[in-house]
Amino acid sequence: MSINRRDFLRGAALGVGAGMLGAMGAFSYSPWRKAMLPQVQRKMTDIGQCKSVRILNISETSWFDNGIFMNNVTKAGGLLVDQYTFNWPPFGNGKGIGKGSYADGIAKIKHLLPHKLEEAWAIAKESSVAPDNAGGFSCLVEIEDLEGKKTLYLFDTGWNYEWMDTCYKREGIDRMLANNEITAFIQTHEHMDHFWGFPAVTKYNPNIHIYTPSTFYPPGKQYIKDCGHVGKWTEVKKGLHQLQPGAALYMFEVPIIFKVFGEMSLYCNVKDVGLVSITGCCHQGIILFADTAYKELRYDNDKFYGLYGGLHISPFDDWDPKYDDLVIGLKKWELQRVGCNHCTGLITAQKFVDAGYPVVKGTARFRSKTTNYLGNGDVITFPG
Amino acid sequence: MESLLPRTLGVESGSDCASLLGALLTGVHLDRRLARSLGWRGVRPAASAAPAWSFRTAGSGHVFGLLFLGETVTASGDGLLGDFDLFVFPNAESALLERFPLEALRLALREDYGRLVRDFSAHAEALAPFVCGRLRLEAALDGSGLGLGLEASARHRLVALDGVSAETPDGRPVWLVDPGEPECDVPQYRLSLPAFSLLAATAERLLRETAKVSLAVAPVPVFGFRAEGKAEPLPGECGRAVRLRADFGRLSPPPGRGRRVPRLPGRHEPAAPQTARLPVLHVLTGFLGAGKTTFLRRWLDFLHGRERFTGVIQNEFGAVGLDARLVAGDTRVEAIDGGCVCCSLADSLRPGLERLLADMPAEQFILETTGLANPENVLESLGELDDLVLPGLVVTVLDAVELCRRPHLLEEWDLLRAQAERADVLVVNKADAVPADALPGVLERVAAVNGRGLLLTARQGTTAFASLDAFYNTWLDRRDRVRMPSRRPSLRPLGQKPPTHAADGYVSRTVSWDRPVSREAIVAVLAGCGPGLCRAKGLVFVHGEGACVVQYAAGRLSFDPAPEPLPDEEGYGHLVLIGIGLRP
Repeated sequence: MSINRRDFLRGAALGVGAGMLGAMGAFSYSPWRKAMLPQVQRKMTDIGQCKSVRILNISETSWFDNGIFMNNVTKAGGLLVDQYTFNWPPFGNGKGIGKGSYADGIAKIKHLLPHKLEEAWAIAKESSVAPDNAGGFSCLVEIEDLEGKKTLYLFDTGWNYEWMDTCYKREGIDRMLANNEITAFIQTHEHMDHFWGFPAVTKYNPNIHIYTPSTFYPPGKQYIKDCGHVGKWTEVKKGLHQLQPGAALYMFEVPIIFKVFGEMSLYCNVKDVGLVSITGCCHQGIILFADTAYKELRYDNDKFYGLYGGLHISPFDDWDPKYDDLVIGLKKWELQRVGCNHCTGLITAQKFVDAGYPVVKGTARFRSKTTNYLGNGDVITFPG
Repeated sequence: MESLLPRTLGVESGSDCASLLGALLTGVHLDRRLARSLGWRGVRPAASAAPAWSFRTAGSGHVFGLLFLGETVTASGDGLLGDFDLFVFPNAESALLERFPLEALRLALREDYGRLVRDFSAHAEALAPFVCGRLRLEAALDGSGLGLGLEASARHRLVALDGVSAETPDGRPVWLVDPGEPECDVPQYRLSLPAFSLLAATAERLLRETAKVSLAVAPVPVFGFRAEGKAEPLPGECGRAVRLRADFGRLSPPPGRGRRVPRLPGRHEPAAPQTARLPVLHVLTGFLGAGKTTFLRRWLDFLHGRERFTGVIQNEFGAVGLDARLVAGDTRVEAIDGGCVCCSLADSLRPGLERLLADMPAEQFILETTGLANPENVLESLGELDDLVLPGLVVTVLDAVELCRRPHLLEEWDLLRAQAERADVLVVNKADAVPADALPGVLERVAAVNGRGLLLTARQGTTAFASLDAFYNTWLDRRDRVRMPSRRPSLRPLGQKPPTHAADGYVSRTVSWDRPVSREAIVAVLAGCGPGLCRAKGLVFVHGEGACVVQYAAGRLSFDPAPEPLPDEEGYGHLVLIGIGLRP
């Protein structure tokens, strides 16, 4: 007697069928398939441990008005437009939206960098689009090793010279840079709101060791030189790059809007606590960001403990709409401590709070818009 | 190839081919409208094992998976050759699965099939029966050429020479596969082709070059297997292996291996011409106080989180608009106040839209109508704007609390019913504010009025926003000329006009203050309006609290801190009152 295979497999005899069919599976594969795939293992690279991580948010307000920003982007031609051609400050040439270039812009201010920032910005303002909308993203990461020694990293450097210089002075970053208290500067990606404020760093310390993704475009590389940087420059290739025991950068090779390529995130393994992840914008998408840590790193308690930064949702739309939600996407990692801001979105931050995520609240000072954000001037520590 | 990956290729990483494929997939999605018109319908990276992606394509119900297996240096030493398994996961109900290996069918019938597919790379070995082909990516190390190849069986057939038997729970022997019949017979090439051609077409766009396409067919033996597990070629039986290649730059098909074909086969042809790159205009409707503006702000947050910048036109019935202020921090808003675009202000829509398009030439816009607008009338006005925008979804927000309180509301009230009938998407908002056991009844009543629209529930305006896109794209993909629910011909008797709020006698009135006002005084104003009051909203300086957003709808009054202080010229604020027969 014959029986419909679907009906049978649906039926109660599934257990019997499963064993029998399992044994046959090997013959059913495509002729080109390797006989057996190797069992996929987590790589679990040991990056060591640190004792704690403290993050001071210097500025998360990349721009102050979304409406103006969107108006600029759409008028210039959209997301694929090269950021250096928007005519945003400091690379304005006076020809209007979408008609700028790095060469034109830098020619007007190069002679003033990095020491005469006020003068340079004043010139840039005259010939740029929406100069007062520019802010910037930058934070100070302090990693304490197991012996209690603390190492400081400056993580991104914002956009607007005036705003960033003011923020650096407010938080004493200018002094720390000048005194060589900050060990290195990490440039997560080439976007204007994270990078164009770079002379506010070289003004105080042109010798600082910098890390950038290896995929910067020529204007970005030239800008680093034009800002007067003369120190060590490590171009991080794709994958893992250890900074110190318990802390490693990871470079994601991903195309990003406004003609930028590649973004680095920072992973820290905090002893007895777990993994703390720090991100600039997370353009690689939160799924890849989390999956990569899971696959690549060994961390204490096998636990995703903390997260800080802008949580850009995804470069893709999910093929299953019911999962296309950051709040759902992050749930499985059971984070213990989250500081979000910047490109996360005010309403997404509120949704995190409403969904019971352990969001560390801020103070909504210095133009940060909500206490759901770890705002400008606020501090988050891991462990809490 | 610099435009795909702005660095030199190398052999050190052992995964540069995966980087290239990742750059291709991500790069095309930076322009989501381009990705959609090419045929992408969602991608999910799955890096929990080797680099991998799952995705859907237009015109196919399957989920596809690509898993990086590894790469080698080409024989000539100047290129990389990367291998990827191409998985095809049909829907569990698809009859196609009857032709897949029994093991594939068994897995597809598992409750967690959906989860397995989402995480397919972590279960690649178990899911191997879904592999339908091999994708090969060849890249010249100097960046001068790229090649994509698909290798698959025309029909992957495996014959069970001794049959496959099993026992039913009551011990009866049965044949799952009769002796000599195929255990599987999968049209692997046909199933893989849409995914491969989409990838190749994407490369054509990003590299700005037409692919050199070639096709080769080779005979391969058909295998049978015995009960003890031994496989043997079947004499006299012959299958076909198909190799399809798309080459770019200096790479070209290997000589003597196949014939050139003029274009990529199996490409998705959009149902509607996508050449007109007009922006899309969605319409958001819903009765006074149903939660349209809250829904809009959350929808904008979803869209802007994906860099899908969206401009807004807001139409308010009252003389002093509040909604535009609440949304102003989120995007560019064009406000049309003091009437309704479905009747008295229909002529204001074109200039308003033109202003918005000139100032923010985004890819999509949302028109938030007054709570009194009949979408049928609005759609009529929009029909005259087809030189400016493509018609999008009509989304109607409904108030679960009201529908629960007054179960026959949709039957009794023409305007509310018209808003529900003419919707493509029905959002039953405030779903958390009604008893859980009452919600199914509410949804049933809404579905009875409009069973073709997408029915969603929302809490505080939050819903599964991605479903809106999926629904809209499904309609764009349809080829059967069936219209979207909002555009179906009306069954109204000849000569009878669609219901409007004018017939119901709605009016609006504005109350202003020149000193701080107490909550009690506001409550007194509302009570003084009489039972005809439906809605009140405004920005008011409340004594001891500062500037507040005051909202009244469906018997509920709320005070929330205002997003910004009141401008000086507005004194201590206004409250717009809307209703029928408001007492002076």
